[in-house]
Amino acid sequence: MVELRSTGKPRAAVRTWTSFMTDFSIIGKPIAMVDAAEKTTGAGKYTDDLSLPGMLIGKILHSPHPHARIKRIDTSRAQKLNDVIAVVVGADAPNPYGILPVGHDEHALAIDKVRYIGDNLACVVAVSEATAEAALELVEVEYEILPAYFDPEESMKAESNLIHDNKPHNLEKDYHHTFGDPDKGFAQSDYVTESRYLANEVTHAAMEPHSTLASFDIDSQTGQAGRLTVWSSTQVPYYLQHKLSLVLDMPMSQIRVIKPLVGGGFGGKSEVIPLEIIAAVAARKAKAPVKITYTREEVFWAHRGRPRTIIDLKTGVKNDGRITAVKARVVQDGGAYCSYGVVTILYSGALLGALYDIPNIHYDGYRVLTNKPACGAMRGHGTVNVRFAFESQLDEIAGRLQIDPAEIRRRNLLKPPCITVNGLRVQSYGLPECIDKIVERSGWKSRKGKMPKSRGLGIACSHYVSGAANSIIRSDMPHSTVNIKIDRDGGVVVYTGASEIGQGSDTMTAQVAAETLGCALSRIKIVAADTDLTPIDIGSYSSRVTFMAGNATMRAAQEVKKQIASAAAKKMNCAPEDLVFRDDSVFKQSTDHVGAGLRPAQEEQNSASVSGRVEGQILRGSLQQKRKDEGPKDSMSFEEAVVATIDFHGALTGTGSYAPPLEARGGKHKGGGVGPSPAYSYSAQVAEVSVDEDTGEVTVHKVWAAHDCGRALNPVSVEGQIIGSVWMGMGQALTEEMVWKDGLLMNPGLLEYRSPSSVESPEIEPIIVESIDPEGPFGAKECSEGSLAATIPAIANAIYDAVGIRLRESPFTPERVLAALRAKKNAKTLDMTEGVDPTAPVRLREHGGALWFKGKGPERHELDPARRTEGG
Amino acid sequence: MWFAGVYVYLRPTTLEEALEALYQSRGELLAGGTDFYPSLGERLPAKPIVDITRVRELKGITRKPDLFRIGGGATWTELIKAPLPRCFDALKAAAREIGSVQIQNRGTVAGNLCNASPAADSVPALLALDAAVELASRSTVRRVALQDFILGNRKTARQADEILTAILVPRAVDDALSTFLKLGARRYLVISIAIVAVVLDIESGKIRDARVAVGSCSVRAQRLTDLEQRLRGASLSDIAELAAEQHLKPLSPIDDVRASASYRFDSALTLVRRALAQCAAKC
Ligand SMILES: Cc1cc2nc3c(=O)[nH]c(=O)nc-3n(C[C@H](O)[C@H](O)[C@H](O)COP(=O)(O)OP(=O)(O)OC[C@H]3O[C@@H](n4cnc5c(N)ncnc54)[C@H](O)[C@@H]3O)c2cc1C
Repeated sequence: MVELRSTGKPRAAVRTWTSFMTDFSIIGKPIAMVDAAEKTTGAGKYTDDLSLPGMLIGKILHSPHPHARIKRIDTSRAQKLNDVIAVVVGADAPNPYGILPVGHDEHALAIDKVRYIGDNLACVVAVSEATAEAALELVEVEYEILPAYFDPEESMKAESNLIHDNKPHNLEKDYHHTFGDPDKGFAQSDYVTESRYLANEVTHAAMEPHSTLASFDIDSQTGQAGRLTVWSSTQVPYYLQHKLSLVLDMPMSQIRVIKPLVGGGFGGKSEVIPLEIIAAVAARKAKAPVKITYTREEVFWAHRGRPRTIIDLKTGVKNDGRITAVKARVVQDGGAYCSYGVVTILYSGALLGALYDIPNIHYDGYRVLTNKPACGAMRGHGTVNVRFAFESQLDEIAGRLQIDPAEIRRRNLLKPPCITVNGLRVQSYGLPECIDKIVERSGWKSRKGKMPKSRGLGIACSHYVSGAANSIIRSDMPHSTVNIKIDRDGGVVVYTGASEIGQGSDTMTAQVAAETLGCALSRIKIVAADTDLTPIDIGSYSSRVTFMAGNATMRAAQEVKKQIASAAAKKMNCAPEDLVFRDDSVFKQSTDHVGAGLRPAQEEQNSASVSGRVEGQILRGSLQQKRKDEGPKDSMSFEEAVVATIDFHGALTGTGSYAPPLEARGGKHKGGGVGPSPAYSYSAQVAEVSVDEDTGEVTVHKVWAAHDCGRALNPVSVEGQIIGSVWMGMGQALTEEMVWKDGLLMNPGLLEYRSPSSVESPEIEPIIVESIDPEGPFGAKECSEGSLAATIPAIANAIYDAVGIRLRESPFTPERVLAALRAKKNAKTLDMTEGVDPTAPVRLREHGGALWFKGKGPERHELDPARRTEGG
Repeated sequence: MWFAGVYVYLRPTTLEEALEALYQSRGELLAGGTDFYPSLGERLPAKPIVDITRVRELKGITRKPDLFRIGGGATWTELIKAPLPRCFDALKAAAREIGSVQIQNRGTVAGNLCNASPAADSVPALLALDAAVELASRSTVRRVALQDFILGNRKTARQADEILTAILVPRAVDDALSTFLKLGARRYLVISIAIVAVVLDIESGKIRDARVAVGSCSVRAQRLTDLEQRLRGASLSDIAELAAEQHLKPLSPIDDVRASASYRFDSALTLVRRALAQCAAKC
């Protein structure tokens, strides 16, 4: 860690509800989401709700084999079926694509090989869903079965039958990073511990299944297919536009992507999902609009979730608990395609860094290909599993050194502003306050160690980026750009490319615009995520929207505001700088007004360039003449000020954009582009659990979750995100797990893939800590992902506190807990296969994560590819 | 459902009509549909549907001198609300944990039995009550003990033209105590890993009659007769200790995505002991 300068900076404030109400009029208030009404009444339209005249339905044929060469694919029988309009195969879209420029290894439909059960082979387009489904049965495919790889460590040994020919040893990517001098660090330590942790695979399980509707216009000049419009459940409309252009060989300008309401993404829609391309290719071939909506089972096959991960972690500490060195070897079971894999494996290493002060780090990361659905980005991308290992190990060390687990974390804090050993710039840092708060609220000091039998408390911390400082496709383009247009009626339209996916992007945009302009929230109308109308924004992922699109919105609003201020100043006979915009009016700073006496909004100081408009237009109309006659005033309504400006300037528009500063873009080492962020969020949590020692069931009673989100622009929304993160983390900790058998997912539905329901939800006490980031919009940072990672180790540590077992394999199912308890008591053991021990796991088992899983899965649907082979 | 090009959905209002409709259409019965539709997955129904939710004779729960009669159309919610003696506590507890309130409003007890899932939550409690089912066809009405009605995983003794018109519970142990326990990987909306129902008829601190049934640990729920034998005449104190591994012989749990056989077996014993202790504690 390099300290940038010593600070006399005040510590982050912990906000109570009433303190949110003061400085600002729109932000900091617990307002309802701007799309709340349409969502709660059902009036809102998601992609699957859309329909076009003549629209056809597409159904996809999936591979029943985990790894096979396609020898022949014959669609003629399917094509002959009545009401089947087209059958699309790989040859109809031969260009490869992938979300990362280094990972263009996917095809919309398989060309020569299938690489996982569920891989896409063909798409039937028909008048009805039933017909399309019937036709799928008539597509004949002949395969040459190839050996398949399900275990990442076995897969890395592969010499032949590689999953992708250009990836020797099925290794997608490996990185080896050394920062500081780890050998020296370990040599200086008083105590070193090393363990293996396994985190089994989880998926997003967003409520809305993926859906895409694609339609071509007819070009008026040629009579041929013209522009393409795609409505899709996506977090990244501009990436989709880009990939469609690649695969369809069309210029981006001929493609319009519109994102309707999205029912949750969590990363599962943050890259291009096969159906999005298939729908467009199918629409072109069928010469009609085509809609494809995944069934829930297909959503599971599309996956892109959090990979099963092996983490070998070694930590060295001094007797006082100060960490001297960390060494991590991480192997991710990435599935059959690259997806975001290279980024995931880099995040796993890079974000070892910015939470605590670790002087020496060695990291070996392996992203391995296996014959299973591709893993991708999922809430807390890349950081969650490693954080589980790290925070568990730190707890163990604290126990060993007899240091309070909260205290050991305090002893390893960063001293910001600083640059971490791996080149991450940290400015605002609310972690100390987060720890203080949860310690206080949970009664940690008085209760820890004095809990009733089988009940315990555990603590853990985590952090996350507020947007990646470097975009996936490296360029100097701003990451977000926003346009604002104000009409003569005082209505403000914000055009933003940012994607509302349920996280509150549109609400944040409206609040930031209204606060900056000092106008009523009701004036703001958001036009978002439509590539024809809105300027480019790279999407809703890596928790970047509030920080980046928020800054762009603020800057666009400042630009417009500047124009209004100069027109209004003329009317009021003062300098533009003397004007305050607030509560839907503009007034002189000295005026005794409802909002007077408050300092001008801070954003006025960061001036933006005035767009080059010519002043001094002729005043028209009698209203203006009358106002002029009235002479200068002390205040104007927002609308009057707008009218005055428009009469001077004509249309009132402004643009703002955001690109992360160079200083925040990280180190120069290979892979150093992933991890850097303009700002990091911080979380600390205490979980209180009890363990049923006879059945192994774990009950989480309460979680205290403090999160430093910079300034909370909408506290109720921040709380929602914290609660949601804890909940999702609890799912991964206790019940959620994808169970595989020979590459077949055994629980591809929400009944057997068990996310916690509201009944399992413990009481969650969200605590907002505001560190006010110097670069965030109004000081805001991320709040949607960072909290998740702390929950899993907080629960693991609480289980240890309750019953003395250290679980190193997640999720902590009743079976794993009971097995560990029995082993500890030397009591009757459960019948285990492969000597599996959840306290000292050895390797990811081919037959899935579920402990001792050797049985059958649920009965499979007859269209299930796995059954299709049996039946022939 | 598509019958020679015609969509067949019948909704009779009397039992006679229903039996006739079932016989003529060779269709499938539809009650709450909470098993019927999910089991179709993405498919459309292949056979004509006879919806029996409007059949008058199947409604309600009635008390007779010698038995309770749970109508073949009675929902979980009706069961929960019905005034029933203590021995039904276990069954009611099972009903309260079925799916969710919405499922309880639609789903029927008869549907649960006819679907014959090894994890059907009502079966252990009804087995412990020595329940029987009444089956009617156009020409016959017969009574079959529940033990003999459920034959295996999704297999029952019901003929294709029969309707389960009622579940009959003899009034032998009205005042007996009863307890239901269920272990799942999630509290609600889950297929149980193990289910236990216990009915204890107690007379002056001693067990006169005991019934213990376990579900989800074999293709069909089982009564633990050896354990019941052991319990008869025993005093209530330390009753849980009387249950031992050897009493679980009738069980043959499997490994599946929910749990391993080994875990199921282990937790079944824990649940049986707990259920006995909790039931005795009500005394
Ligand atoms: C979300 C969800 C959660 C669930 N949770 C549970 C749970 O916790 N525990 C549990 O045990 N079950 C659960 N179930 C399963 C289901 O709700 C119950 O088994 C329910 O009792 C079935 O009743 P039904 O009226 O809906 O039956 P239906 O689905 O209508 O019918 C089921 C079968 O029985 C036949 N049938 C129905 N009535 C008769 C009759 N009178 N005579 C002859 N045949 C008949 C039908 O033809 C069909 O084959 C759940 C289901 C869902 C969807």
